[in-house]
Amino acid sequence: MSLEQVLQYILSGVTNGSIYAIVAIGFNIIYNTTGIINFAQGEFLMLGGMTAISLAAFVPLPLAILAAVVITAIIGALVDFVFIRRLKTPSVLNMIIVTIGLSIVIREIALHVWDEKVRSLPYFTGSEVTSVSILGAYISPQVLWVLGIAAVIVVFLGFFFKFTLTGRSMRACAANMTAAKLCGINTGAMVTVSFMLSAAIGALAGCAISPITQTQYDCGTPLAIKGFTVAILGGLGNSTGAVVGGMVVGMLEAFSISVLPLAYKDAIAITILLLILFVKPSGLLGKKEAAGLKEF
Amino acid sequence: MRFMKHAPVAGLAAAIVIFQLATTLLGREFYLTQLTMAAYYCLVILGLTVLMGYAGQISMGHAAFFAMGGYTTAVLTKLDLSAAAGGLPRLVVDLGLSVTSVNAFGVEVRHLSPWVSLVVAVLLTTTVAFLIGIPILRLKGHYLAMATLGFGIIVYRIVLGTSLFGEADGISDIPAFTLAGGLAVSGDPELRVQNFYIAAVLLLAGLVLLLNLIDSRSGRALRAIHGSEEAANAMGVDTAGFKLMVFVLSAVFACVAGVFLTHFNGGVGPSEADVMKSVTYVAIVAVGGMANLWGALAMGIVLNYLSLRGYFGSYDELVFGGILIVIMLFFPEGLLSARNLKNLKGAAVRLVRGKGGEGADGRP
Amino acid sequence: MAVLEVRGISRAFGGLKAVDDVSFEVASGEIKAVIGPNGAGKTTLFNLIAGALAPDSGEAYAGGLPIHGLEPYRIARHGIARTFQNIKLFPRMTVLESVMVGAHLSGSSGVFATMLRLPASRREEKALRERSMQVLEFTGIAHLAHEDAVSLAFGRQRVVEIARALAAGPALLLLDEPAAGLNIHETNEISEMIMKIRGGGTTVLVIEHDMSLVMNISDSIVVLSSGKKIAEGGPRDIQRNEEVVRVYLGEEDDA
Repeated sequence: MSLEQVLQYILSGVTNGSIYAIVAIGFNIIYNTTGIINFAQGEFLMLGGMTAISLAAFVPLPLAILAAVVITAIIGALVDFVFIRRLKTPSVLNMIIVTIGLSIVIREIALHVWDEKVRSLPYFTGSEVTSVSILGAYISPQVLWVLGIAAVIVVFLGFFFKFTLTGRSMRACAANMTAAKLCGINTGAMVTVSFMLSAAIGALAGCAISPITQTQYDCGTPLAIKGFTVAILGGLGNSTGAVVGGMVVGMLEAFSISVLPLAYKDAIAITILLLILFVKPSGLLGKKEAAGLKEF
Repeated sequence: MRFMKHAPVAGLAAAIVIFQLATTLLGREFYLTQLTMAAYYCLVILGLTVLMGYAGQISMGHAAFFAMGGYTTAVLTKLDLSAAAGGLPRLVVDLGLSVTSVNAFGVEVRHLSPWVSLVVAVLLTTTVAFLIGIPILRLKGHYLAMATLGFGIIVYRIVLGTSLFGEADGISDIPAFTLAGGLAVSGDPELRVQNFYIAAVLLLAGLVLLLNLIDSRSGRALRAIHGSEEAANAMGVDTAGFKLMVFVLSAVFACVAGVFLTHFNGGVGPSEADVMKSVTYVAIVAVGGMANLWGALAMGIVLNYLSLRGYFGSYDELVFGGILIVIMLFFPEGLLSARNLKNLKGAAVRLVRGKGGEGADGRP
Repeated sequence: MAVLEVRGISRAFGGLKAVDDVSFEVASGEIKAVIGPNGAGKTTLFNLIAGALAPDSGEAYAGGLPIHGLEPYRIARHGIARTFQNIKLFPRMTVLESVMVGAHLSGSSGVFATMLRLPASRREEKALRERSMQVLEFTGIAHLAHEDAVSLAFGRQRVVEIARALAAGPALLLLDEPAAGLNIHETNEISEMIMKIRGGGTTVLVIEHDMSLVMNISDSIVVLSSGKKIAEGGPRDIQRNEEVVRVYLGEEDDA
């Protein structure tokens, strides 16, 4: 393997890894405030991408993306208002089934609103033939956009959770819902915010990857499964873990295709995850308690 | 009391016969085809109900066990032993483990008896379920969900990426499974009625076995594990051992269903191992009321049948997703939960009692 | 031979020594009590004996056989059954069914025998049922056999817990604060029941906060304070023991 090739693999691993990490962070935000794994997380990416593609026909690209993010965030809020809030004394399994149901419904509605055609946003800069050379490896400028956006999301979230009142309140909810409630935090509102935030970053990521991976009504589920894998690998609820997990999975996949048939690519990350879980049942950076809590 | 216990099963058997006679009389026997398929899927769902509802362990990868059954029998019974000159194939023929049947091109082929492939499939599934069950069942909550989901994805990817399993096309032209006395599991429209009964008998047998299990020492141990693992363990219940046992048992149910449905369909494809399939099984157990074999059976038959008949056309999945949400929001314990049934029973009892004083209490 | 022998058993949580080098014996046929102020390590000690926690060091023997470090279900097989301080009954099970889980060990038919309802498993089922009904009659709750266990009144749930443990036919019954949260009338009932259980030949080790109950029924008492055993003896000796009065009864006065 030449140095350029290795570099190419690393870049591709980091790109995919950062997408997975964003999806996993989306899972974590909602998980931390509600204990729910939102299986419709992948659909937020799809909705973001699809909405932006449709809007881009009428308005400039940046505006279309912004509107798509806002619209998806509103849909996230609606998901909470219409469904999640109505769950009375939900068990984890009830919540899983509801979000799986949501994922199916959103996907099928998307199929009927749009169709099964594969679409994509235009490249943010340049086109599919432009490429940037980094140390001899050629990459599309869109890859840089993806990496940049992922980095901005991670930094923004770090800032948000550390320094804003809403962010801190959400962390309080994550640590102890009852205590947060007693301190006068509007926990219901925090759940809504977590759904909006999750949907918004999902939508943004969905737009960023659209030019590379393309967008289709059913592209959410595989992404959600990857994101879930990464979230568990890093330890549920742990966003640093999500980034680490994302990179691990991204790299493994990138390099696996040089050894194994492409068809088995999706099984690699999961096999590794299973092996890790068998040794460390709470994930790489997960706390032991988190894995035991919130049983079925 | 014995009567009370067996009455519902007898009722179901009667309903099956009546339904068949009705379809035949009305010239609508084609309904039976999808119902046969639904019955096999229900076998998976029943096994999963015991694992999830009674033992409290989720599995989001049960389609993998179904696929193991289907693909094992597909691969093994497709091997052509006609020209077996020596070695293992010759031995198989000499031991009488092979049968002949006519393939799609009208040529007679000698191949492994499906009975043998059934046994192999069950042994394989048992071994795999046992080996992955030991580490997986140590996990809890979402981690268990992910691990079982992951197992399902791995099997799906293997099936999809391996030429032995026909990759995206799957395996077709699988010979019929001749049981005994002219009975054969096959998609031949001539055999539609008998296949409906074969599936129904298998489903009833599975149901009775599991009902027996639930209402027994082992079943109580399982329900106790779900209720309080700590207390069950303190009472001398080997909780880890029981969980593993039920995991394997439910895997075998899925595998057997896979073997039979594959011979009935005459083919098997990767969609049978798809994650969506596993999720569907879990969802049906949940909407059936989790710890409720009858609820799971009812929802399994209805939802699978409607979906297989394509009642909702391109809205099929949308309706399924909608049903999941609605039932979880308004009937979180399932549509046929003990509580809902009790309310129903209470209403019925009140109706009867309203007429003539004290009604008969069925309590033993 | 002692039904239970505990030798220098210890367990720490972080830096806190919850149980620190505790040793004692429970003789066959006696009622022994473990008392001590809140946080003295009583429940931890129980969990160590019953296997819910593994000891850091020390040993425990049931009828001369080592049980330390075994899983709870294996310890149960050595004839030790327990109740829980915060009641752990099984939801969606009747009282009779719950007690039949307690009798789990007196059966042996496995998953397959019960699925096929083999004659042996049917006989066994009948025997389990009869045995459990006997226990329910013994504990005076036979009339509740078909009620949902967790929807009973709190005091009744306690009795179901005891019945469930008794159904295992244990040589030693561990009762974790059986009178906690009960009124005087119910407490008296429990104390009578403990005497009756001992009368039936079962040795009892009880953790209890209610001093009058302990003094009335116990043959001997172990006193824990901050994880250490500070005294052991008959009720009278304990009442006169100055250190016990200081750490335990003194605290009662403050309360």
